[in-house]
Amino acid sequence: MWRAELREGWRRIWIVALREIRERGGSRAYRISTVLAVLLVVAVILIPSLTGESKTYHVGLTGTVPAGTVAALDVQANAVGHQLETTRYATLDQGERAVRDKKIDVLLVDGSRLDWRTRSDSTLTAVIANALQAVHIRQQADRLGIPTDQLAQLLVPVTLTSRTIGAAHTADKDANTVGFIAVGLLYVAISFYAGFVLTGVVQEKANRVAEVLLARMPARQVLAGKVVGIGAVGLGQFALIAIAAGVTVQLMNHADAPSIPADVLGWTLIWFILGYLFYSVVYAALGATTSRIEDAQSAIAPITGLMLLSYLGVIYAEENPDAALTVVLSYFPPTAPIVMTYRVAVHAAPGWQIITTALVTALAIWALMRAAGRIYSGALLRFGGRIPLRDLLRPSTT
Amino acid sequence: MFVVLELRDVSKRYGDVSALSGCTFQVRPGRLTGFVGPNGAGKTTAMRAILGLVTQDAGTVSWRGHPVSAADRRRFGYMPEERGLYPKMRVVDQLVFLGRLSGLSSAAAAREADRWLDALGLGERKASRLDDLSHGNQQRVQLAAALVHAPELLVLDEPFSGLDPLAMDSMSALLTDIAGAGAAVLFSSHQLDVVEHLCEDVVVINAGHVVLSGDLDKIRDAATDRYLEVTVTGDPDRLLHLTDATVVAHDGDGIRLRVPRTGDPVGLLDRLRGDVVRLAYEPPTLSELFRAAVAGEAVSVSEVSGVAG
Repeated sequence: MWRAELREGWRRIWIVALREIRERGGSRAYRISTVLAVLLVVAVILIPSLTGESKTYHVGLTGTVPAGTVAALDVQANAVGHQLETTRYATLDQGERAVRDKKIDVLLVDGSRLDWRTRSDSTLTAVIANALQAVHIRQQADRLGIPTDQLAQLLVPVTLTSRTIGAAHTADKDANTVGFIAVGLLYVAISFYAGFVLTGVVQEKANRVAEVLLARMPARQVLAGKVVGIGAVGLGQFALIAIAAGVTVQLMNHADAPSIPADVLGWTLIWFILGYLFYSVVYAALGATTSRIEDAQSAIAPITGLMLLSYLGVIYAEENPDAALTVVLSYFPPTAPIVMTYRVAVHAAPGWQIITTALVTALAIWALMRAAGRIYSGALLRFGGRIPLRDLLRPSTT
Repeated sequence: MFVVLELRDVSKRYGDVSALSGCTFQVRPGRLTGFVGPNGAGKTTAMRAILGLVTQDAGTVSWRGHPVSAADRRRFGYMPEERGLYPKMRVVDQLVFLGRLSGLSSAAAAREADRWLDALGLGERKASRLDDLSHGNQQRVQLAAALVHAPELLVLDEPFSGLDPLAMDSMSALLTDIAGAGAAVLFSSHQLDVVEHLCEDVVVINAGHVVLSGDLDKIRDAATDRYLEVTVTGDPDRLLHLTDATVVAHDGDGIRLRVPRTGDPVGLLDRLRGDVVRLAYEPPTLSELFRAAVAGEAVSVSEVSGVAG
């Protein structure tokens, strides 16, 4: 009997969720916002590479130019992944005019002075200095009569390998970038989709659909269906944006893009779900205590504050990934999703801690769901100003 | 007679306010039961208790002899006083959605939604969004939402409010049909003439408890007073001096008098001889019973207290 009732409960949750998916996912607003978000993300990835990471330097030469300089410049520029073109100018005036007109980045005068327009470029300075150094060594070697093959031995480049040893106290740069991107996305996505739940709840109450629904099913099932449905719509949109970003990066074959390890991706997804569930359930319960969206916004203000606290927590965790406060913020359910996403991304959290913090958050969500169900059923049929939570959590008033 | 729904001593407080105190009444299948009472008497709270939207502090709501369960309630249909559906959703989709939540399969829900929309004259507007419909049509969709799963008990909070006379007629006909098909129908209304005209049973509630309930004809018959309505040629003033009679209305040639049930109607007629144009001798109307029961006006209801809760 109770088993059939349980199955019926899941069925109703699914029906409510499906309605959210159809009505929201099928709405023009959703399609437009998805397309815009995808375009925006693709543009953000494409534009910097179009304007050029691997760029072509234009170097002007004037006065005496040591033999072999042009070839040496080319070699040095290629060594750091850039292209370089040279132009000769007959007079210093012509060369300087070219600098001022931005035809060239820099003018090399007599192989010993660099004329910049407003600001020097450290990469280009190094390229030119190395090229001149190589030319100079070759000239000296010729003068001293060192044979070419011996010179080649002298000039064998030192091999320098590099590796990252994990974050003891400072995260490596790529992981940190990934961490901040993940945290930023999570912050936006959680606020956005939990905000949908908030407005959905207040609208259902204001439309008085709530009473029609509650006559058919318990409040906690309405709440669960709503949260699951909007979550699915959100996750779908999120996934589309992520796929668009991934495909764009792949197509560009961008070597400089930080690679995102699969475990980081997986945990980011899990923490998105946990964070979304936590905040949407809180939003739904608080939203239900109000009758107008303006009141709902002020009702959730303290919770929005907790979101902000998470973000500050990440900034703190960047410097102190293992500090006691960081660990506390990792276990505190309102801040855990965002703080842990960052710590996972920068490899600052041991595996057992990732799992225990996720479990603690899941447990908090379960408890919250129960309280929210009670608040929800008590509050949905009461109108007017804000209803004190104290009234709603007392069992006799439901 | 067979009873499907029974409220027994149901009480509910909101803080210091008592919404229901010892509310007891019964609803029978195949009949229309009118639920009347002044504003704030507890009608909506009692209806919400039936639907499980409100958990009573004390007392029981039973369905077919046992405490009502969630599964029982799935066979109830409810139209709240504050109408509410999704404004942006297509009419047919709302009904399918609500039908499925009430336990219908998607195919059955689609079939029933179509059937009700056709029956209520909304066949052409199936694909419209709710907020594109007129107020009257939105009301019909709301009613269809309460009916889509063929409920055994239909609970309607003020179904006649805001309806024009034609819509009231079709609502009356529909409710009569539904009861005729065997469902129990309980509806609240402030329009006592409508309730008197439509309902076999009534429940009168005041300040959270039921003051009258049962078969309306029996309640009327059991009242201690009768009403004599007479139109005479000439001056009706002489009727004002009849003993044992109280004038309740006096309007031109006509007069309405309250006389004891134990009085002598034939003797009264005798005294009026010759001049009578029109004459009625009847038990109190629902409206008179209501006023007496609720406002404590001068009709005694002591003899019908056996029917009351």
